Amino acid sequence: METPIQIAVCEDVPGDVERLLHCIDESGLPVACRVFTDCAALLADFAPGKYDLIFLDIYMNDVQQGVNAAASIRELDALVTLAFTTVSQEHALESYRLKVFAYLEKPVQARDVREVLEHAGDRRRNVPTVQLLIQGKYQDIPLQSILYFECKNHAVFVNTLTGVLRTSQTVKLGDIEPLLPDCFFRCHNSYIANLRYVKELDRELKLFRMQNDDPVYIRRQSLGRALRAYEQQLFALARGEDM
Amino acid sequence: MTKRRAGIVLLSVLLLLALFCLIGAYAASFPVETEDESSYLYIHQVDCEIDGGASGRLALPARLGGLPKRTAVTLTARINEPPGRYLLVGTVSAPMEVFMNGNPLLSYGQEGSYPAFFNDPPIALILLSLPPSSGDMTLTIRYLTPGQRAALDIPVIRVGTERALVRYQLQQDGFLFIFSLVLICIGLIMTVFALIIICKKHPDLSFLWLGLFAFLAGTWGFGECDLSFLLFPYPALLHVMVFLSILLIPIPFLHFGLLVLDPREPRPMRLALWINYLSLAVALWLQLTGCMDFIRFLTYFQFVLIMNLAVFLFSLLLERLKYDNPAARRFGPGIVILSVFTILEILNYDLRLAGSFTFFFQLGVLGFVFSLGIVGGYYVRDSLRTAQENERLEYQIRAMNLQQALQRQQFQKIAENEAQVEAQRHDLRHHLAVLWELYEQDDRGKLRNYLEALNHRLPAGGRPRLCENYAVNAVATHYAGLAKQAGAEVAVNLSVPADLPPELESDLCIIIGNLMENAVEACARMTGEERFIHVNSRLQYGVLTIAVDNRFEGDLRRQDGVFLSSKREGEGIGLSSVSAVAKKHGGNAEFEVRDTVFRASVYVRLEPGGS
Repeated sequence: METPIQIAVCEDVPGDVERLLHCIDESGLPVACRVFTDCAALLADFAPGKYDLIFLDIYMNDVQQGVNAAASIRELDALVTLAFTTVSQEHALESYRLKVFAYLEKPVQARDVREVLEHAGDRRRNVPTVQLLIQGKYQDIPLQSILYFECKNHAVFVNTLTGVLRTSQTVKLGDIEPLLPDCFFRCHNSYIANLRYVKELDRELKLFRMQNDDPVYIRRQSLGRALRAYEQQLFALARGEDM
Repeated sequence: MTKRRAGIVLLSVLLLLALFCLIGAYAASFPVETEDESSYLYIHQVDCEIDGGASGRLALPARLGGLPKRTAVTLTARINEPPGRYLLVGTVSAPMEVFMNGNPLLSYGQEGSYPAFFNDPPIALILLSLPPSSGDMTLTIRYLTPGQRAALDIPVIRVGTERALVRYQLQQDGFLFIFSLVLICIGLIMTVFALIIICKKHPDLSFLWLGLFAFLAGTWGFGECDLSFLLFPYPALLHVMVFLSILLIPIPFLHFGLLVLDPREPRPMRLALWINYLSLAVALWLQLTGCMDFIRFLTYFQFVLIMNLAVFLFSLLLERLKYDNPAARRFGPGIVILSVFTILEILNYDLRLAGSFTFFFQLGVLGFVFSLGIVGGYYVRDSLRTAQENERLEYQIRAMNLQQALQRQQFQKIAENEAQVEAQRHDLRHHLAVLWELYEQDDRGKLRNYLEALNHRLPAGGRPRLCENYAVNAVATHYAGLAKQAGAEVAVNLSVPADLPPELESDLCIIIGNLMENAVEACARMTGEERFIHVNSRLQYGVLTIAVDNRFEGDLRRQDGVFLSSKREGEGIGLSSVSAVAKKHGGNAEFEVRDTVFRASVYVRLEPGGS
């Protein structure tokens, strides 16, 4: 059986929660749902990759906490599907910026909820992966959950949004490199960075500062190419052209 | 002709001149020889008598050490020569008297015959004509041991025709002599050249220092060369030349290095320079007050020379390896040549590898000066280029600032217009209230008048907001409207946060305004269909990326990867303005053409910090 879609619902009005959960049930899709009644609790529980879909009420306790929470989540996780539930259309622009998939007006409609669920499910199923030998077993790791690869003490470590994986001894960075799409950049003998998660390029210290503040070093000769690759990645993402 | 080309021509001329002189000097050492004229006699064995001490046979050249100051050493030799012969005698800082059959022939180096600040007479080589009698003669030479040297050096005595003796010296030192003259010439020409350049308001000292360096190397060689004594009989002047050259030569050398290498870590070279200045001052003081002759601390100066070279090499390696300074690479060959030859030279002073002093140093200096002439040429070229580039950039920045100021005003006006529209929309509510009132009163006449008045005042319907930021939205809305008028399909997806520092906000207006203005103009110029303008953006990790794509027709003029303006000469100020603003905020801009689509991509850092 398919693994259930991991859902978080963040909503402070009990009636709205009930209606939403009912709609989710009605869809008949396999889901696992957690409910939070305020944004702080959601953010405390949140970890990148933990959820496939998050329903967020924009106004909670009469404050628009939802937008800020969505921004925090987006910084950490570019993949999770976000859906706003709201009574007003005021925040349509922010929802574009935060790549919010759906903007559900209350009271929510079962048809809309189902569409969101299917999107999240598809997204998880169709996510591109890379197959790596980890602890003697081949595992499919979603490419967009990988921050960077690091070679340390003759072993390749995969730093993902959720943690660090150590590949088996026979795996070499040079073997992984050809498997990766263009948004991965070999910037050093011991590093391959996912440019999507580069926070900034520090030219003085010659490193990429990653989303989690880890440094990924760039060899001197590659600095120019690294900057160019980083810029190309930024431009491609802005245009919505996936590299 | 550019200065750069002039420099290259000058260097080539100097190179040719030097080559010509060297070949000439070599060729000149093969003259027509006649047995009689070419013959000369060495006097190797003499009777020697030391005042108040030993006497006996002495083989020349000789070094007598351990004698008290001003001890008389008398040499006697018997010679048998035809008349008209000459005698070549030398002294190394020892007063000397020459007698023939008891008659005085020469008295050299007595007190008062040389500058008072010397403690000993300078080194000399003197050509004496023998008396016109022939047959057996007794030659007596009396030296007084020098005060500042540890030993009395007695050179070989030679007898022969004047021509043979001069030719002998020419063969010995001709090469070095001409070499030194060439270096002096090069030095002088370079110095003059540098002064001309400096006078032409290009404050470039590199050739001045290099010229002085070559000049000093030349005077050192000239002063050390035995031939100079025969052709230029001013021993005191030659001595001063040697002495000053050795003292001064590191100074232009280090200055040149500091200037052209422009090291990130200039302290070692500065320190070396200070040591040199200090040593120079102390040496001059000691010499001029007569406390101590220069010869006494020659060893110290040999050490200082090595130290200078070592410091120079160290700085060079540091720059090359740590900072990747391109000037350091150019310096490489020259400094290696000079180092090798200087070390050989210093060994030569003690071990006598070559016939004459400074031979190796001269060779090294010549190689160094030529290689550094090239470095200096590069340096002048680079600085000229930089100056030109700066001028161009300055002009561009001026033009850009003007443009940006105008644009700020324009965008402000656009924002004000937008605000006006907002206000009018607000008024609408008021008008509706009035209308409602009139409807309630059922006064059709008043209602009609009011409606007519409103019809004139109300602007066209409101436009949707394109982004959260008010100012950027105003600008984008303005150009989106123009684009629709130009018949283009417009899609704007802008994610610019509402609250931004005012300067950043206004700079983002410049970016969006310029890019959209360009796009609108390109679409307006089109004759075909399928006009579009797509504005996309993304904000993550505090980096805002904006991409504006538009269709265009015709050719875009391009030069060195820079798009030229379609409206005026030169680079499009709009695009360079966008680049400059992006760079100001830690970002960059890129413009490219794909088929018939112009793609402008810009990113800026909204949050300060980072590199």
